[in-house]
Amino acid sequence: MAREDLRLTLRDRSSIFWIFLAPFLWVWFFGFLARPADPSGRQVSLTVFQEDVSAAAERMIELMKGAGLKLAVVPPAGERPAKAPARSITIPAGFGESIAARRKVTLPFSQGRDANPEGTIAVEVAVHKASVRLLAEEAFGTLDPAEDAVKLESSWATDRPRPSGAYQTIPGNLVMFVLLSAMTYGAGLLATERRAGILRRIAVSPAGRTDIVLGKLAGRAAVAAVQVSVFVVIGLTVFRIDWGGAPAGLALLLVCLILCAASLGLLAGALFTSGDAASGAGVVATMVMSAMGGCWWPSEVMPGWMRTAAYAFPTAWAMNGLHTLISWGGRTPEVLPHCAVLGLIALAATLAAVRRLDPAR
Amino acid sequence: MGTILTLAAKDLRRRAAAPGPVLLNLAIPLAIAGMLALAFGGGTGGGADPPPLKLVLVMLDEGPLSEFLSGASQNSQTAGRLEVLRAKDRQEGLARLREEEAAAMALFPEGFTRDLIEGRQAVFELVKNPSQSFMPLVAEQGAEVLSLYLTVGRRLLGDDAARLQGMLEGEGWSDTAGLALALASLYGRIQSADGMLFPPLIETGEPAGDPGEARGGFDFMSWMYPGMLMMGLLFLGAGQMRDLLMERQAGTLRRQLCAPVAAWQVVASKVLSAALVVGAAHVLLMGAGSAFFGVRWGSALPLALVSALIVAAVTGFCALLFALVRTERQGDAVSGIVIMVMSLMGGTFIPPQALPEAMRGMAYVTMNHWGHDALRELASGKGWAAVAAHAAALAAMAAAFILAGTLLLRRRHVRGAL
Amino acid sequence: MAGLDSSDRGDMTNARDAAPALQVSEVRYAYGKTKAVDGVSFDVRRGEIFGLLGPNGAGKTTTIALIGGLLSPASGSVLLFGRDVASGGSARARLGVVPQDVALYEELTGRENVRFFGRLYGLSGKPLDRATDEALGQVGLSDRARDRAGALSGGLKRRLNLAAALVHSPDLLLLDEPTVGIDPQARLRILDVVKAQASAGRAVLYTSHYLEEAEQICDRLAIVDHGRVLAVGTVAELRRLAGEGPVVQVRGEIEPPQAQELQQRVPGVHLLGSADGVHSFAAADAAACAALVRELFQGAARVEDLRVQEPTLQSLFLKLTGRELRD
Repeated sequence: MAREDLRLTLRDRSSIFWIFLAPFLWVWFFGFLARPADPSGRQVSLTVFQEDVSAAAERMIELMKGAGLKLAVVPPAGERPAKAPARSITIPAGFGESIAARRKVTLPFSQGRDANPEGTIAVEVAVHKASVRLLAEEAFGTLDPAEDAVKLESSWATDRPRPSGAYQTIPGNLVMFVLLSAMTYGAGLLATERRAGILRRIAVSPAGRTDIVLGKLAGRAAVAAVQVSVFVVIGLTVFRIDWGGAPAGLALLLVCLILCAASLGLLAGALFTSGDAASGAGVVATMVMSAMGGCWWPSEVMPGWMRTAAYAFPTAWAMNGLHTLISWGGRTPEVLPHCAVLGLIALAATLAAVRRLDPAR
Repeated sequence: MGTILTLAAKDLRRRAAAPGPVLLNLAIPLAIAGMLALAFGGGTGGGADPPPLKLVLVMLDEGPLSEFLSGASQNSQTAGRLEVLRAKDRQEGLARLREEEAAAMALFPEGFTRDLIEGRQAVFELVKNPSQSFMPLVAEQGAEVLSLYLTVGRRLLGDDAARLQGMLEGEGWSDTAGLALALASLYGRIQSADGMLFPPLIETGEPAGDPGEARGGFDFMSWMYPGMLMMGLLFLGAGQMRDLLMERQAGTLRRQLCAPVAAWQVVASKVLSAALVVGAAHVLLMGAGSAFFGVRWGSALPLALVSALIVAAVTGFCALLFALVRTERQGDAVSGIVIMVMSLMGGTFIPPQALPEAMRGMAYVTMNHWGHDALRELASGKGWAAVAAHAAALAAMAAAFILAGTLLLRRRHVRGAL
Repeated sequence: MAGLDSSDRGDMTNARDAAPALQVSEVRYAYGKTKAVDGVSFDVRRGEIFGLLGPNGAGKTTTIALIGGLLSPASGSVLLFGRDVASGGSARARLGVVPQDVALYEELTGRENVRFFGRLYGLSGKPLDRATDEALGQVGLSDRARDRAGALSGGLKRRLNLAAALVHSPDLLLLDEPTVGIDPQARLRILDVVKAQASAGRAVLYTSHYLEEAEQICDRLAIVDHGRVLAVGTVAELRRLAGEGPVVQVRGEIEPPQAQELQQRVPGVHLLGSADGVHSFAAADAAACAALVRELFQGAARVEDLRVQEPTLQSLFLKLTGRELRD
């Protein structure tokens, strides 16, 4: 049964796309092309329209450069770029005079649609720091950054890779697409078989109901296992992903994820009588679980209630487990709780599917 | 025309009798948009408010600064933006990071205040959570600002810091004249800083007369939702045109063609029924966008024109797509690939400007770009002028796709392949 | 082609003077290099049930598709009531087609399905309501008309499939194996409806691979195989064509050369063909049959099974093609 399911799935061109090609299209797109701006890792661009040529304006520009921004300065008579820049700030005419006269000055700040929030925060903080420093210098004289009274020493708790770029998109898409395949193709195939009477036919064979469910579970798990393997290997070879120092923990976590996805696919297939309905519901459920679980974006950007609610879904446990291994360099025992929860979800879903797949129903 | 309407009415009746697939196609963009709105906020005005920054504070310093910092973290200005958790030492702080309770740990070492007062460089530490990518950077930015403010504050106290500390700590002040001088000096420094730094004289703000693009005027869901809508319509349109191949498989197409019905009428009716379903879905999704995500769609007339062109272009594109495939399975695979690639390249999720330069041009050949960009322009309050080019591009695409799709489908029938 | 000239047929006096409802002349059609229909000719008259009898893959469904205008013949012509089917939709307006597969919309009710096909043939308003009720009544589905087609049993779906072709009262009804896979009662019901159509003066072209069914309802039959018409006539005429003598089928350790030898040795015996270890012989009469059986059992070859068939359409088919219809 498992072999037959795997064969049927792999014969379907559409499933080949969604199971094997789409994940990497996603990873490539979101991991490489749209890697999140990392203000600490690379400079954020800011266009400065300089309408004031006073010493204060010049110093402000100098301080913004010192704050880590990549500036493109357009002088007062300079030609404005044809296309609006991603972020721009204007040092208005009379800036220096206003500072000297202690009048409030507003620097108009614009951002386009393509400005990401990380970069904007970096720009706002840098502009703020530059202006405070400029004002402090005006008040007390030169304030050399090298001689600051307070120094910040910033570091990461580990020197492991952090979940940005490919390190966010590979684990995120692995979890999402494994679930998506199981809950669309796996569920759709099962629902179609039920409708066509194939399941009833198998049920009258010497195979018992448990055999059928385990067979179907194994079929979905086999597809998921192939998919996970492809992800891990491509992650290693193409994206040079460091999967952490606990291969046994990683393997255990992924096996639990595979079983969980397979059993949820089985349950979705058991709940719906039409293949299309099962697949459609599978897509919606996967989208919600993936978004909540932190597959689409770092979960810390979500409101607190969403982060708490996310632990009702396997995606949050899988993602958290992967982050523990990859970013914290965790050992196998540290992901055992994650594995246990995924295993329990798998067990509960399988039992529900067994109940639902009663051929007599 | 009567035959075409009869055929199209039959399809609409079938959709109404079994609306599941259509509803699921509508549910997918709504579910994605809903998740985006929940995570990043959405709806009326302004971008998303970031969630509060969770910080573990390890205060090993026992000077007055520690009390000041602890108090500052709980004042009304930081409420809702900063959530401070206390840990007694580094080990406990790291454990709390490990439990994902915070984005970073700020550690003020023993003697921090003393170093600051006595003119030595005071160092504090920020340890960031490596399993988070965004909030630790926010914490770092905040810590840098704090560091600067402390530096400025130290500068404000000048050389009198140590004397003032002694007085504050209850050691008394024997030298009254010295005290007067110190206070006078401090007063002078505060006066020179007052009006400059408290609050800072320089601030950033919105440029005049550009509310759509201005800081704070950008509505996240008004940008994101039209992209979701376009993608959803394309998937829905593909599902509708797929029905032609399903009818071929079920034998109902052959049966229709045995009646006094021409092949072009069957194809035209399928395009018409698909357009009606896509049109209804477009209206429903726009309504849902307004109701759930606060998207304001802008002027009615340009919106009606753009919407009609989007529906025509989506339907025509799907007709062409299914004229080029032979089986449902092929259709599913090809439509999935093409729609996803068009959505990614066309700027559904990320603005084309954020893509590498070589790929930006590709957005302009996708229907998604012209469709969702027109809707985004209208949602940002712009009018006819802003969407004229979009309307022209969509009209050209609609005409080309419908013509090519219908001709190809008819040709397939003549060859006996339909 | 074996058969009788149409002028010889005396049992169709009512239709003789009228133009045929359907005239198929030397029609050819090929899928790539495979000849599906290879010079087929026959005609169907009003009030007549004409059967196309042949095994699966004989070209029956392709012939129906050519008559329905779904395919254009490579050569030859198809005339519906004297008009070329290729001339446009108006010729097809008098045609009712019951496809081999149940071609209905499962999401719609039985009534909605029938009404839809009625509309396609130009019916509307009250006449459509009446025709829908009538068609559903004819197939005995009035009480299930509000059920979704997808919820009906196989037999009921077949009946609905027929009703959708009757709704516009076609003058020529094409039925492509309409009774495949259904129970005997449902089959009888469908056959009754078909007979009633013919009695009402409509022409019926009925394809089947069930010999008994064809013998039971068809006025005339054409036996087709490999895209060719092998014989045409009434059932009685075709039985006569099958000859007086029986057909002997032998299974055993007999090589084709030995079978050829038997044919030469026994007078009045003709080897029809050999397939899958079964050799079929036509015997001129009972004596020739007895001689063949004697020769078989006296010879060195080991006989495992031996059957003697009286002349029937089955034996005619065997005689014409060298194989059984169920092949």
